[in-house]
Amino acid sequence: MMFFKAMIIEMTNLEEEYDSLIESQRWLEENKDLFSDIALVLFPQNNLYSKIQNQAGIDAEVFINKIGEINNRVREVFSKLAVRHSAYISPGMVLEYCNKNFYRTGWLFNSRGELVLKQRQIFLSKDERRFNLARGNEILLEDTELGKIGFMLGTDCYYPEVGRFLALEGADIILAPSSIKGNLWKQLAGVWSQVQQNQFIALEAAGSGQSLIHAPCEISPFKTGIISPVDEEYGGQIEKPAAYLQRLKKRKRIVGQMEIIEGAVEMEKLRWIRKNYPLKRYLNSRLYHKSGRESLLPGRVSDD
Amino acid sequence: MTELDNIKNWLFLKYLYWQGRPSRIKKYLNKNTLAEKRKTSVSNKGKVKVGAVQLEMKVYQKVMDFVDKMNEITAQAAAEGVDLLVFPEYNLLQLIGLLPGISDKVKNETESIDDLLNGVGEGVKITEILCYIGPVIQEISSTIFSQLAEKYNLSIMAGSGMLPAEENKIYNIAYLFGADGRFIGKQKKVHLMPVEEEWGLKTGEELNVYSTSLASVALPVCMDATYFETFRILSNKGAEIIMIPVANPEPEYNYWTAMRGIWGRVQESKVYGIKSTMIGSFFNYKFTGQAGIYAPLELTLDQSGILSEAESWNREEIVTAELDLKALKECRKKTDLDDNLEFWERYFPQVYYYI
Repeated sequence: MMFFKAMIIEMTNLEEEYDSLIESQRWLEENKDLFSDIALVLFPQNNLYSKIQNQAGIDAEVFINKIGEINNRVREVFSKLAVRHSAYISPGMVLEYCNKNFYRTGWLFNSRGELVLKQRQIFLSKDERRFNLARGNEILLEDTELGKIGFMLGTDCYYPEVGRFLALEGADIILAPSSIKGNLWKQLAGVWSQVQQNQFIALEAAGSGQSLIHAPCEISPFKTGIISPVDEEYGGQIEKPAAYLQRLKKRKRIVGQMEIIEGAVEMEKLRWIRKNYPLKRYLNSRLYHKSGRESLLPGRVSDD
Repeated sequence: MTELDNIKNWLFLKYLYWQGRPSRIKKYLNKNTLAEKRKTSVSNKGKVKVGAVQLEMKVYQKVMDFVDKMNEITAQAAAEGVDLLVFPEYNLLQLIGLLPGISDKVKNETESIDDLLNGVGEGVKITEILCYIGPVIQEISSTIFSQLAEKYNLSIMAGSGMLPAEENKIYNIAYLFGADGRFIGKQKKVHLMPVEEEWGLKTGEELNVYSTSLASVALPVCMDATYFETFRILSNKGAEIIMIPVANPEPEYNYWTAMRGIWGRVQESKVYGIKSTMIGSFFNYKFTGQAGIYAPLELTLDQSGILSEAESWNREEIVTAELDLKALKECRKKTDLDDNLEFWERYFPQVYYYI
């Protein structure tokens, strides 16, 4: 597929565990015309579990059962949405319980309502480690008519090896739900930076930041690396990025309780940039092997 | 080639070496002292003042004209108290003007390197020309920067040039000199641009960190900053300051594309980064800036990761900043990093056999 439209939906004012799902369903039903030509939709990392997570002293078995209930509900809602709108839809991340471990897992449904991709977060934040979440250690991609789709979840965006291995495995489109806190420069150091050094498209649903659809600079408006949103009045290329992102906040389209970012993704342009600036080709694998795996692992800084 | 041609070539090279002989350069610099010798700045306070040069590309027909320019810039940096001065990529290539006739051709922006090579002779490669003149450029530039470093008492990363090493293979190599004039080390570019590959350049297979009296430093070149692997390996090897000389062939300057390399790598690897830039034109290549000095977000006042940047992208400047190594060490200690050895074991080495 040469061209498709993608959308990121930001849900505002979420508090109760099921309200967000009910609200999503209702909103999507009311605004189904918005989706008439959208092929890929991403929801952000959600707060579906906050109510049960905040219950002190909750029994482990009860907790696990509640997670299962919530996840079944998510599956039901989003599976139907995907079929209704003939689109690939990701509810962002769910909390998965498997083999006595909890994972943060990205889900993707195809237009037949099938759950076709489940990707576990690979690197955890300090809080996630404190909650004893387990890590995924595999990169999975779904080969679709849009391109190969993969996930970059939460703090994975700050580990460049995740983007690199996604790219080397053939990823074309990355779904990146997160709720990372920090300023806009910190946000740019994540998914934007990964997109530039790996030449893929990314939908970043940044709960606390600015949701963006990314692409390599050369194939984006004003060479910013951001397909959507866009400030058409952007006058030059020397404005500092954080200032531009701040202006983009006003460019979100607000429909009811949702803010949406919508953009056209031209896969032919992606193929063009990869062919003309083949970054993967110039990786120096002899150097990396000679240096050894240990030298490439994060956080092995020698301060001696 | 006849025996007479060989003799002429030998004599010509001898002449060039004579033009750039150490005693001549020393005498010239002694007569042209533009600033006082810096007082020795020891990094026991853990602070290093660095300077990144944004320099307009010129091609020099005379060695002393190049010496003049480098002297002017180094003196200015010394006057500003710079401990470590960083010149851009292809700085040493400017001496290719020592070859007769090159200078005029380089200034012609409609002329390409292929046009030059076709004019020289059929089938002539750029690497052959560089192999011929390269040893002269290496020796002369080493003399110049060694003497400048000692004269003004500051460390100098001389920028890079396309120069021969190991059986006449051409690499893009950057050089580092200490404040005592001693040659400290060099770094071959390890990730090429497509045009460099077309020209026949080779890639280095090692990344070096040099422990100096100022800090542990590294000097990968330009495109090397596009790949996180460069900075990850260097920071794990102990690099605190990573210098990136750049000559970015981007005819229209764009802040976003210029930001893609060193800024992102500094955030990933928690090091200080210094970017020096070549500007102007070389044949039909146009280079644009912007030189800058970068740090982890939390070490910058506005959390932007930018300590200092050139005011322009197309004018000569020296950008300076003071780097606090103790603060960097603290920042690294506070940085939360996760470990996932299983993930790496699964994907390394096979994923890097992509090519």
